[in-house]
Amino acid sequence: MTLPLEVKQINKRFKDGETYIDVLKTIDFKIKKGEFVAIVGPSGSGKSTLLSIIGALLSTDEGNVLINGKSVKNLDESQRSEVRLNDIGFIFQTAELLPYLHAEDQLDLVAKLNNMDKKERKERAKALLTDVGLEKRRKHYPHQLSGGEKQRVAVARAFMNDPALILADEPTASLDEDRSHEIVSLIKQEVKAKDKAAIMVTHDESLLTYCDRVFRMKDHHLIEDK
Amino acid sequence: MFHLAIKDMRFSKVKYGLIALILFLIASLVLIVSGLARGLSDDNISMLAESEATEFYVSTDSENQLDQSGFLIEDLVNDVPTEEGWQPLITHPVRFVHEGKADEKLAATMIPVDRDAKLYPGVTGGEDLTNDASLNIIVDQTMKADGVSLQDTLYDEATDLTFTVVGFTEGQTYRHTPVVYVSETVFYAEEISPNQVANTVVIFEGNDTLKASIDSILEEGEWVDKSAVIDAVPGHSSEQMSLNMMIFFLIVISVFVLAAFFYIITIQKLKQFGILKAIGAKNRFLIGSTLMQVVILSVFSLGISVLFTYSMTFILPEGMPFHFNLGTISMYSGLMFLVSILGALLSSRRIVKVDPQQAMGGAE
Repeated sequence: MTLPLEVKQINKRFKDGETYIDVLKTIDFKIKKGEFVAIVGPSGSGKSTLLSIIGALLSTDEGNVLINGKSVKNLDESQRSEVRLNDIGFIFQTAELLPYLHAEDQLDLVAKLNNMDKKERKERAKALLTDVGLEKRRKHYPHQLSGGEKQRVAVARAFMNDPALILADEPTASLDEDRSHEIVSLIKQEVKAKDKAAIMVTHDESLLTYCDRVFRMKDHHLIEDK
Repeated sequence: MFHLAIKDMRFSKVKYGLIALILFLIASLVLIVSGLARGLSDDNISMLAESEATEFYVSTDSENQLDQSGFLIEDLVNDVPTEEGWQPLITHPVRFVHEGKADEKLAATMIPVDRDAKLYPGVTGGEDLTNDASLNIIVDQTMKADGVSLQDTLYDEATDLTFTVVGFTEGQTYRHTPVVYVSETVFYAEEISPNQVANTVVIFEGNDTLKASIDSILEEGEWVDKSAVIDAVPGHSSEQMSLNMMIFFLIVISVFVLAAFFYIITIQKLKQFGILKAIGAKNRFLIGSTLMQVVILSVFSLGISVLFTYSMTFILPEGMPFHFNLGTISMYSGLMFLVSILGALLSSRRIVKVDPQQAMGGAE
């Protein structure tokens, strides 16, 4: 069985003036379907860099990432776009919705980019918005929604193209404590219901109870809590 | 792409409305100035432009100006019959008194013709010219704006003759005056101009033997083509050049104005483009929907400015030399369309350069 995500011996360095700084050293892990994984660590520890590499937004210096068994290593920009569109669902720190689309159209857009047919798009968007509790706010624009509601739309959008892997980059950074717990439990609920793999980068230790496994960034290495 | 473009524009109505308004205003100005240029040009040279004559024999020292050129054509008429394909062209300036109307004088250019000759354009209203000695004239329809109608009589002080308007023709103006056609018979019988004099001799198709024989009889002249004669009509080149210069600068200005506007809009949306790229949208899609917006805007604005310019033909006073010519209008609308696409393309480089990774890790 192919795993949603395999990360193999990743190294990443950034150039700083004339010297190189190691950001990630020999990162190596796998995630199975239905697993909700957290990555925690202090600011600047390389969490977001790691998530960018897994999300085919950034290349590695050494090592490889397999998404759904496919290597993203030697892909060009257009092929990476395809991988991000088909195989990965992104949830960002703020919802990052387009201001001129109502909730249903936000979901419709990503499915349209993926050439899904119209009927299926409509049905999926409706079902997902119902899952995240926004069935009554389908036609609301971002400026008519609260911060928590916007992030719910973003969660629904991440699942729209039925990706194997969900990547959430500090999804609660702009929310208060109650909303944070709501959103993370919602992500967990969807991950379990749809049997996806998910990685969440977070600062907030209190959210780790929702996750199946917890990794910590320490001295550029990723260490799993046992 | 189309729906996304439309939804964005509907959401930011004011922003896009403002660009549409500016595009509309500039395009209207371009179209109206071009209509004016065309109208002025017609007013000055349409008699020549519409003429079937292709080549003109003009005096060597006339600088191609018909009014400075002149020949005695008695020998030519006797030696080479006009049936061989040539005709004399006489432009005789007259000032008519419009009898029974205000005592202002009407300037016109009288041209004697044989009604069967190629130089005579025919009538669009009223009766046709006859070759007999009756003092009938066919006038260009621009005279209607001066209050001239069929059966009106026009008196020429210089010759003490009174002519009757029997018909109208169109597209026949020369040096900002309407052309008046009179039969050759009358013109020579009444000795309106002395002897057999012509400003120029024209032919209707290239014929080297005919040209050579005319040249050998008339002497002291040269063959020039129609465009050279048109360019030499006093005022024509300078009018057209200054108006075309205005149009040229308007178009250059609109390139910069539109490019600046589209650039600002693109810059404002760079973050959105970054997010869209991160979730899998390609450059082609993003540039495509941006260009789509420009296409929709331009088609909309240019359409309205064409309609607006067309409505100017009804608003402007009749005597105003303004001509709504579909060919010119489509040419300049097409040019304005290309200009706005060009303006938008300048900012698409910024879209390509957006790094989708910026969507990640804003907190670190």
